[in-house]
Amino acid sequence: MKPINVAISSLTHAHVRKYYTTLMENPKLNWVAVSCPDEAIANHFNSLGYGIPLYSTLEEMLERHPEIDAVVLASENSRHMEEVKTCCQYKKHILSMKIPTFDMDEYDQMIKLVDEAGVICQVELELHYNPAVKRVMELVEEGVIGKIISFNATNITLSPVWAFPWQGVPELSYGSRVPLKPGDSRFRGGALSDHPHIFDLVRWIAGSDYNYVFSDAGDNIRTDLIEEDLLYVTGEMENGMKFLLDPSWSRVEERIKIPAPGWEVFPKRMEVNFTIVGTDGVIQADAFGPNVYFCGGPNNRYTIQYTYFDEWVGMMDELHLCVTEGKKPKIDLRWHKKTVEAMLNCYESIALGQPVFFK
Amino acid sequence: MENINLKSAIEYLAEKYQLAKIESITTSESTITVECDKGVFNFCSDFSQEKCEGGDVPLFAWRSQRRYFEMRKNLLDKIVQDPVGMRIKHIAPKGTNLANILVQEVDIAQWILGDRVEKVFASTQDDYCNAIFSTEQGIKISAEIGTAQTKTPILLHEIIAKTGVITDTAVDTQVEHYPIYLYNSKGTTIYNDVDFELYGLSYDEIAKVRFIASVLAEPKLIGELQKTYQQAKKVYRAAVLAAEKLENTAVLRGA
Repeated sequence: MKPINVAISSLTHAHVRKYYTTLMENPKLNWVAVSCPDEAIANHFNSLGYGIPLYSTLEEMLERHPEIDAVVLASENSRHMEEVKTCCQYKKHILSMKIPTFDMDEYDQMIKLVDEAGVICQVELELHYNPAVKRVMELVEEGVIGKIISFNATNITLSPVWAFPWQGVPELSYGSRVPLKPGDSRFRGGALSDHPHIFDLVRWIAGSDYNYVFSDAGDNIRTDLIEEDLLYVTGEMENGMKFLLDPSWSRVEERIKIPAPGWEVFPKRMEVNFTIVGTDGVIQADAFGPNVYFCGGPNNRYTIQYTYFDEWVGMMDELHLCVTEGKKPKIDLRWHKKTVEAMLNCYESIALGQPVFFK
Repeated sequence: MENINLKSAIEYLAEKYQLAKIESITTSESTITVECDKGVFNFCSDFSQEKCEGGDVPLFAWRSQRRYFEMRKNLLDKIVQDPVGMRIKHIAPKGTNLANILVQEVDIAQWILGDRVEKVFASTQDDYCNAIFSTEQGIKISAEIGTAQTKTPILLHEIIAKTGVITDTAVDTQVEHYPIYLYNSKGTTIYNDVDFELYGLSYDEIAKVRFIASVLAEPKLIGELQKTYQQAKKVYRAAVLAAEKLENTAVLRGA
């Protein structure tokens, strides 16, 4: 087994901490370097004691470490295009965060650049490497609940914007400042932009693409946030399967700068739950169960702590396999594009107050 | 992994994480023997055995179950501090050895609390035991341990501390929570898939494989595990004695 040399570009994404652990523990991966232009974040990284060389730019890191095979782009969404260009220029494989970009012209450019450079671009949709999701997929494929009538899912979390401020800035999370709907002072780029997973899983479960979506956004829970934090989505796939999704930031949080115990106010940080109704039965699943429950520090609150959160192990194994054996990632830019388009159509539906049909 | 089983899973983790070079793995009803470049290890799950020495390793697989790991971590991280009490319920299917359940639950309690049981009062009826344990630091543990006509174990672990409570059962629901429920005309089926890397193994098998992998990574742990086993056996013997005499009974110290 030959390990691959992996680097991380930028350290600003909420998921980046998961890579620290995975890169340290998985012998298939050799963590070579990180780049981070933000001095405060860089200082925090250095304080963690990993001893990994840190550079202020992606270019400098790639120049200094020609041995790098793949780069994890853990930056804010608005920087992905520029970083994909750089990685392709240096012929480095890419692991992109869950939203490569919401700009479809940029998205097509990314596909072209990756194709021309002959590199792999895997997209981080980690639920595919979750054991409960894998079981649910198998049960559906085996037909144990018959033909699927409806797939209902939550991806409800606290809001990460206080710890990861770029997610609260429309230009950085969505890519530009687009009003949520006429007469509304908010902009696109909030909870919906943070939660592509269930929009992707609908397509896998259905084995079909979208027919239409209807979405509506409520008033914000966090009145000082300029992006949406509560919305619901319903619709239908081309094969007739219905769905009802909740991608909200509806779990209240403490406004702390570094995620830590006590971040959650509502007792659970994240609920990714499914109800799949079929002609012959129903599946209910909690992607992160079973849980442990406690009342304790630092705020003496009742807290529900999930006991599964290791999707990065399987995902990084897949990256290794793709890089060493030239395989196509399960989630690549082309597959993922239709998921991002569905999210854009949800924004469009919120703006129009009507369902949006896919052509 | 395709066609995963207990042996292939141990081999997979040993190779992937470079834990050991496996030469052979043999299994019997209560022992998994691993021969590797680090030695020959007999992982035993029959806790009625008196001896546990040399290459014998008590298969304390529950230490690799995330529910207990997280409960312990909450204490280690001081999210909840200064435990004073613990409640344990473990009602296993008929035919399960009472000594096995008691050793398991004593180890879970001691491992999570970082303490040792020094006294026990118990009352028993056939293969059922109600007990109150006292630890060296004065923590009281109430335990209902035994077997009954049930297909699946009924479990509860709750730590009561001065600054909070930790439990592995959803509050006020009485029932264990599983990741997946399938409802259809045949009834309700549960699935307990908690490990993507070892997907396909049962919940119990996953814990065994993870525990064995942890020992292969650090064989120096074996001595401490053997000592803990002997001590848990003494707690079991003290419980038997306490039930016979109906006296609060000290756990014997020393070898």
